[in-house]
Amino acid sequence: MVTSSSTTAAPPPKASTHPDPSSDGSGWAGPPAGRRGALLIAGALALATVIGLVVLITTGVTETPDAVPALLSFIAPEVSPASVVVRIVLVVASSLAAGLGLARGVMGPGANSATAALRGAAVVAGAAVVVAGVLGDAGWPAVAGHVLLVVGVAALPRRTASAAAVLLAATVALEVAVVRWGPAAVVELLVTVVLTVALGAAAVAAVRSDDAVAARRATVLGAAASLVGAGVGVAVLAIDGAAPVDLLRSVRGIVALALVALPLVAAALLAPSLRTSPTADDDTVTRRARQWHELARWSAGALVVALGGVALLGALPGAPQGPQGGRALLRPVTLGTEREAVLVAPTAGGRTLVRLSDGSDPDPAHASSGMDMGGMDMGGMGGMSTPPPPDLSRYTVSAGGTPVLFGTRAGAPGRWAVVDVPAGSDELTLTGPQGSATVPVATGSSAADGATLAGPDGPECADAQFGDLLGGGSGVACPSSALSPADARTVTAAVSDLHSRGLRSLYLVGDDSARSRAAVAAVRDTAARVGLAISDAPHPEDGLLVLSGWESAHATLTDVTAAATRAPTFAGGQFLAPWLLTPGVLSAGSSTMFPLSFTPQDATPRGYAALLTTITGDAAPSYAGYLAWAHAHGLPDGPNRLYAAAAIDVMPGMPGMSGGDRAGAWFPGGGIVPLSGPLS
Amino acid sequence: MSGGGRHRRLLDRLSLRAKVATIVAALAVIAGGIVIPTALSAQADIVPQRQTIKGSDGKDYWVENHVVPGAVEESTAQAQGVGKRPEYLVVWAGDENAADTAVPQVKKLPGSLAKPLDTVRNAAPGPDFLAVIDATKGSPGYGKVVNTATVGPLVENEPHHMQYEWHKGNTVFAGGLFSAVTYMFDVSKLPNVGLKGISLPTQTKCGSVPDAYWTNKDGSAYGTYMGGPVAPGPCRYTGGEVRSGNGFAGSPGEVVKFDPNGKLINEAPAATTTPEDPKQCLDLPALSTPTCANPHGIQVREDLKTMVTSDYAEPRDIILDPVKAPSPNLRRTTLRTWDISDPDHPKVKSVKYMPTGPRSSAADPLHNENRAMMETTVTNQPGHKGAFTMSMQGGAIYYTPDITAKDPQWREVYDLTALVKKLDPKADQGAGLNGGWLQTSPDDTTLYHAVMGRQPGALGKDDKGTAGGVISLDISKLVGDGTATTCSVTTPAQETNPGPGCPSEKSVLPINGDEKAGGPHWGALDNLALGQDGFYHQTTQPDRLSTANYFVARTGLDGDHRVCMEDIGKGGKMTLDTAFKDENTGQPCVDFNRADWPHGPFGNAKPHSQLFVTADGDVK
Repeated sequence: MVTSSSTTAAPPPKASTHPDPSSDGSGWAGPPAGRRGALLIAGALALATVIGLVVLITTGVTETPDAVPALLSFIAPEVSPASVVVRIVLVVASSLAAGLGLARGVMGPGANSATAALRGAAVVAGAAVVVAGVLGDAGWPAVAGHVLLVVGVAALPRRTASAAAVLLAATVALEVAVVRWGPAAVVELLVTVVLTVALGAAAVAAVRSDDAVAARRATVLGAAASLVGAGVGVAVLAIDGAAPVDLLRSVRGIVALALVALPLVAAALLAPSLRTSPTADDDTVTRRARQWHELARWSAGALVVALGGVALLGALPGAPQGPQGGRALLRPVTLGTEREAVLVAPTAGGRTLVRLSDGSDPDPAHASSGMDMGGMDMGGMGGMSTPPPPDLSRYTVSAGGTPVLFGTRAGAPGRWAVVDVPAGSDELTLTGPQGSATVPVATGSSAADGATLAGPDGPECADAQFGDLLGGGSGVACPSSALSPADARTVTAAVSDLHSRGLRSLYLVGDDSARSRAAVAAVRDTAARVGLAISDAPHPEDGLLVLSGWESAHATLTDVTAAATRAPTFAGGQFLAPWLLTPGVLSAGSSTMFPLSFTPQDATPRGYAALLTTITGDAAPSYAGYLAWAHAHGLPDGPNRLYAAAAIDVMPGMPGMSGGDRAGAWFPGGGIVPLSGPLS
Repeated sequence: MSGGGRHRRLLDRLSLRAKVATIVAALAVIAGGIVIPTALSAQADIVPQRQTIKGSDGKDYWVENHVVPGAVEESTAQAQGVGKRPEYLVVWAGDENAADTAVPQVKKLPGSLAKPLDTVRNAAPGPDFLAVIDATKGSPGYGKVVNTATVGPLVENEPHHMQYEWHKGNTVFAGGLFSAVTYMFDVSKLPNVGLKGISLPTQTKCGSVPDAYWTNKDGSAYGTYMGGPVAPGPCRYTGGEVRSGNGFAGSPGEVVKFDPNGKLINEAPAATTTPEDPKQCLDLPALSTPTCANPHGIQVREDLKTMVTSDYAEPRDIILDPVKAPSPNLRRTTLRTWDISDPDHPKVKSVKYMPTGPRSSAADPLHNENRAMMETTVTNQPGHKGAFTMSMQGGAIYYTPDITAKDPQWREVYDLTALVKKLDPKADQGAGLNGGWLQTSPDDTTLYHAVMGRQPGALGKDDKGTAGGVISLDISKLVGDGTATTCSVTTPAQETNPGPGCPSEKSVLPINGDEKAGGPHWGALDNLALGQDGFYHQTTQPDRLSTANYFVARTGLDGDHRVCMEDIGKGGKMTLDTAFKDENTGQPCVDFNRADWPHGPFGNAKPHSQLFVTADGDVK
């Protein structure tokens, strides 16, 4: 907080005739001329900015990440509230110290009246930096450097201190910007430097001074820098990318708006003191001076809040994705104390599929995949307990009409609901036991078929849209709407290969989707061509080929796995269509095989699976999602190979002991290995 | 006079140059705060050197060395400083997914928080690696990681076992439990590591889940593949045999043989053509020919033309009922002896079910003495034909005096109940002690055994669990008696006193004594000793061993990921080598839970097994 040295009425400021008491004796004395002062300020700004930018660029901070805004809205620094408070205090106090140091340096001894404020800010800044070190939020060499600069600004002679102030301003700006990336890092660095200068000037203007010239210069400088700051704030707002609908409904939006509004307010508060009135009497001058000091204090206060906002911005997750008609929408929502991810697939109006995450911790380090012990207490073993499943009857979604309950879908993680979104609706309301939240939606045409989304293949379609969204694509159709030529080639090549491996007969399981019907027909054609029998009824020695969607496949594999424990069942193997590659389906089988055009353990597919862990703990990769993401990135399909998958534990017989693999694996708790070379 | 005035006068006395210097110093400190943590990190100045080979699938596979600059010269110089050639501990370790990493993100600038984008970057798994650690006793670099040889592109292999002992010229065979891959490393130029070959699951179609390896005198190696054929159904082995399996990670497993360069010579069925006990040999899904053939441990007596494998468990995890324990009969009770008269075509000679012991009961069959026969070890001296085995859940040690017999007679010879109080004073029984590594001394006088300890609750809700450690037993009498031995634990009294002629306690060294189930799973004897000629030679009197505190994280039996060194004193007493310290913490044992490795800031790693190795030029 900025404080003045006195709140009593002061005589009108007059031009100072005293020598500079803090002159460093280098021969330079007195305030710089107006143009010279402006040049010095501009130079200091440029120097601080250049220093900061050089560091940002050389450390790669300005590189734009390969992550869409929808994903970035889920990630924020994992810090305690104490760390955030310390960051805000540190940034504000250090900026004030740097700003005052700069102002003193370029305005001459007339600004010396702000020395007390400068020292107060320096003490607070130094303490905050040390606390940051104690909290483990900063390396001690950097703490020492920051403290040295703060001390330098506060204790060195004015001119030398101004050099330290430039470095301190650059350091603070770096500390603000380094947690950001790309253009956001640059504009946040700029706004910090500019607001630092504005705050320093406003603080000088806010304290009583005998030097009217210096006070006026400070006022002019503060107003000008505030206006520039507001301009850079507009850039911050634009780059931040918050949808208009979110500007006033999210902390981030409000903070970003404040970065524009507060500097404008600060400039406006300083503006009255720029007017001159040659006819005013002494009382009027004295009264106005008092008012101007008061306004300058409010101006400085506005800038302090703005700088606090800049510091806070880096601790907040990215702006949520705004609705775009016809496209999938992925946003974080907070239902009371629950932080969830919601996927609206898509925001097109009409029948709309909504997925709500299951409340798993998005930080895999905190996740647990153990199971209940069925009354067997396993003591303090990590990963061996699971929180009770959420009461689904208490989660609903509505578009203004009757709330629709969420439910589970076999083979698909998360909670699902299909809700009718009438034309003109602009938001969905999600309700849970802890609270409710709204999600903005829009209407528009979508590549995804609404009927499919509402049916059993909805989760797979939603995942395709999800992958497409994460990949920056322009929308995809539901995969089950048709058998793609690539999938047709994959399935038929696999059938030929199975025959060449000695498999004598296959039993097919399909469903009513267009893709499944086409796949069954293609498999029958291929089997007839190569001489592989297709059984009308299952036989123990048959191979099983599942060509249905996720839900039916999950049920089939669950039944077959149970039956196989009692007697040989489908001894020829359990084969799956490639689109059934998703943990929810694989985990229902004992050992399954499937053809794929990519290797799940390769870096790119594995990276995609890992990417999902930044959104929710229950996010699971799928064939549909990955291919949509890969195709949006322009990645080509690879050769088809057969793969085998099984859950591997090596300590069977102890349910719930599994430490488990965390989310982000293609088959958590299992292994997927190639079974063949490229299929011809 | 105010303090400010004093400061001002002090500062006024400074010349302009001094003031500028002050500013520059501050700037330097700031820059240092940013740069030094990076510059001092383990990977600074390390130039990765990658060696790539083609796999059988046409893809590139590689090992990438990250030798700490000057490590070769340094370790050599340091070894020479103590009058030795360098000796290394080679540890096969898996990256613990970032998801599991407990190491906090390094923060540098005050108030800068952790960079959120790092969350995205860190989610990707890191590479698995072979860590090369300075193990030259007395060297100033003792315990330092001098190289991490990472493998790629496959990640999440779950590095598991290598061979039990390394000999001059040996390839190091290292398995990936979950990737079904065997890596063949060239360690002749340690600390640099080369990749000689890689065996992919498409090459070993009749088995999966590779476990352990045994190297023969000619440099070839046998390996156990614990899990079933990659595809279910009939599988044809190299010799033309056919067995039906229930698929990847199921049953039956196999034994493979690789030539010294890693080329696959043979796949041999571990299952017999006749059905094994359908009650004890549960297979999921059920097989028409039930089998317990899931070989884990493997040791060989080439002179006796006999190989022994121990069956551990069907490694697949099929959850039929999340609240009901699967049958304990998925954990095997069997030992197999093999005829290796034709070394390239081993044939199963006997399948023996270990007897239940006096503790066994229907109430808790999972902890019967014979449950989960994980490891086996053979005697070594020409006059001895015996072999030992142990049970992971049973907490018992079994022995047969003659593995060449057509029908070997295995009997329980020791119950860990007899010494469990030395590991954990509050413990009272050996059941469920999670034993692992089992190794006879070269002179057949001592049996070493690593024990993780029991998790709390394993025997019921009142079970407090036990700590673990490494133990050694005097087996000289038992082995010396040959087939005339009368040792057999059959009565409750023998649980604590097995009787004359049976193994007896030699030394017990608790490791992580305050932590339940925190002991070692694996170990290795230092089979190399410095000769008068200054070169290393094979020794029959190892004076130290190393242990590793890690099993398989996925099972919930994880460990603290430390690799320790233990001295073996006169009389066989084992003591922790406190000079073998972690270079970061300064505490005894090398901690694989660390933020930075020579290959990068990949965080915690899981060390499963280790070998004592030297460069080929340093051993004779």
